[in-house]
Amino acid sequence: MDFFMTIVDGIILFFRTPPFLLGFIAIVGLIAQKKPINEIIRGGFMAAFGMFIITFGVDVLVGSILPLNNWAAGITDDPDAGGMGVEAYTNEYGSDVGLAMVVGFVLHLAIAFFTKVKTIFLTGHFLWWMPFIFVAIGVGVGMPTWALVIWGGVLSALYWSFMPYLLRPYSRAVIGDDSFTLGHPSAILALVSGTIAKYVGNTEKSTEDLTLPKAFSFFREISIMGAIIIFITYFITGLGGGFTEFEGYTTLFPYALERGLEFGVGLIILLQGVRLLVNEIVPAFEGISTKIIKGAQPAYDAPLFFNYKPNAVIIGFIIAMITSTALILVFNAIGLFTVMLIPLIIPSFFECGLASVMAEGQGGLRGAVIGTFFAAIVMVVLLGVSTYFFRETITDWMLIFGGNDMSLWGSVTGSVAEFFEWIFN
Amino acid sequence: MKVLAVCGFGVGSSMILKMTIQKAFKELGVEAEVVNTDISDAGSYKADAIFTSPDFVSDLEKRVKVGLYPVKKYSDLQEVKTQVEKLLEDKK
Repeated sequence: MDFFMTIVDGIILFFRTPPFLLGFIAIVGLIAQKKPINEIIRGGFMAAFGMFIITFGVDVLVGSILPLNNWAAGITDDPDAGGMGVEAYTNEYGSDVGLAMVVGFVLHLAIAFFTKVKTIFLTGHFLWWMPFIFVAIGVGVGMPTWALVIWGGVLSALYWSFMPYLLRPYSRAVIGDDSFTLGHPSAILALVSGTIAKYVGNTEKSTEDLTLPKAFSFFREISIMGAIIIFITYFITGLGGGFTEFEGYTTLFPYALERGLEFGVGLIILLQGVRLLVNEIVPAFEGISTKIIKGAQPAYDAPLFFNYKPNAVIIGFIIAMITSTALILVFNAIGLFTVMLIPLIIPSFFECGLASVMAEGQGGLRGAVIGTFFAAIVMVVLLGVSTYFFRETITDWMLIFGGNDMSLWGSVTGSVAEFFEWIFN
Repeated sequence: MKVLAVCGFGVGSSMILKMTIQKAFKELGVEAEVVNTDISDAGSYKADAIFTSPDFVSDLEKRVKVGLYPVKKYSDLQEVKTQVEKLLEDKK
């Protein structure tokens, strides 16, 4: 009996290592698709590599903003501003996230099979990141493993089914038919900007009638934009007396520049990891769902909408970057939130770019401008509020990727979880 | 034949485009390897053709020498198939 338990413990321990579990999930998916053996082995390794690389990527990425956080923590006198941090969280709970992803996807398929809500969520990286944030909320209130998997799985399934379903009218207005809907955490910002644009907009003048300067296309190179903006953030904070030591350098400029590059590098590594991981898992999910669900409507990544209104994306990004940065400066100055917010480069591009596209569909150029302005305000407020609920886990990660549905639903479910924790204690 | 599917981030959208391109090649009965990547990285791959959105074509034109095939709706098999047929015609 002891021998048997040792084996069971061994198996459980094995799958608690995230790359092993994700590699295994990919292998099961490839077997289900009846792939040849060489592709099955290859896919298993690629998914495991991907999961490994993601951990390195987030380490570099959050490492690049760590001095800013530490400096802010010194100001606010809160040594726990970052909590355990995303790297420790991923290593410790990554397997629970992986299991929650599988459980969640099965429930998501069940919802599509049994109800009228027939959306199938196929944006690979958010099949990972949604359970990732819900499990973090569970960890924050001390749930045991089995509860983390169920909590993360159920909430992710509800999110994947209903949020894209809500966005259908706005999606239709942009792409002209019902062939797909939005599967991206920008949904709440699109609802805000789209609704405002409907009332204040004017569809007679479109963003796409404008001719934007060619140089603007540069804004789409996100790793470069990110490096530049983080460099500027460090440089200005340093000029304001934020840093007195420049690890390895005697002056501010090269130190700030290196942090900017580090941010860009972290992003590039992270994306490579995510790409390897989702490349092996999404085709399996797609294959299974098209086989089981008749009349399913896929929910796709935000940039699939960008092709329809490319000017709106750039205009939305510029408005969001300016609005959100100004608001962040004000919030940081008055110390509204316990952590210091940094400029939201990635959400300004993807989330607000999408919000702008959806607003354009409802209210033309004017609708896009006004709608995105309000979406950017909502983005910063959501992020600030959500840092409270992720304070013991992944605040550092949310500071870079939050301000969207992950912040919204993290805060909503976090409130519920903390309420019950308070009752039972 | 090796084909690149390119989008801004190289993760979500190009993945969808990649799956549609694979379906198109399969229906046409042609063997092809399809890889997805992001716009900054596209120049560093050796490929026979690049599929991407119309908006990215002008950016890539200056940087790559291979044929560029614009696709507006990444999930539209018909549109992608037309471009794959064009590619096969160009390669003859």
